[in-house]
Amino acid sequence: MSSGADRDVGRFDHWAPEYDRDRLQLRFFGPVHARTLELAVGLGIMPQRVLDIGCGTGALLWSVSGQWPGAALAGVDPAAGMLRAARQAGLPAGLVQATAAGLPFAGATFDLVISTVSFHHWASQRDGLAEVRRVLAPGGLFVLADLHAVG
Amino acid sequence: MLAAAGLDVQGWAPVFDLDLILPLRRRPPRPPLGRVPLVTAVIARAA
Repeated sequence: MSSGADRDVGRFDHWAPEYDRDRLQLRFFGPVHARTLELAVGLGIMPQRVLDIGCGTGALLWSVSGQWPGAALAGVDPAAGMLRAARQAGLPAGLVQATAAGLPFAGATFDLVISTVSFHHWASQRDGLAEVRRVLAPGGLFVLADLHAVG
Repeated sequence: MLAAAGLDVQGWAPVFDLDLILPLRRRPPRPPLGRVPLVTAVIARAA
């Protein structure tokens, strides 16, 4: 991982205990999650296996579990503190500490992969996207939401 | 970059606009469409 990415992980680890109470949740992350899920729902899909890359404390996965109760959920995040908070909250998802560039899943595992406000932290976006493609089943969908001008 | 990874772009959509969170006095001039996009989504399908 690059030193910049390492610093990001450190910041999120430090932020984790207060992350869900931060006012940015209400003003920014919450609306981003809601809109991203709305876009995924608008695709008319009924995913069976969903992965959130950069899942943080799992706020988006909680919404996904409400939208598609039968789906098996997974989340990865490089910040152990964020995953610890997600587990403590009882998030109904398999959670693994990992980066996008090294997804610990077999190929063609998911039919929906989501990532919100995470892509700009990826140390290697090219490697991460290759991993997204690898873990998506043929025809599977990737919904990537990030700061404007995603390339 | 998405295409090179084998992900076919299906479309783009606005997600969150900057002008929703900036204090009024600091808002940049609104563009003709009335939005200052901050977060955008791209939807892609595995080829």
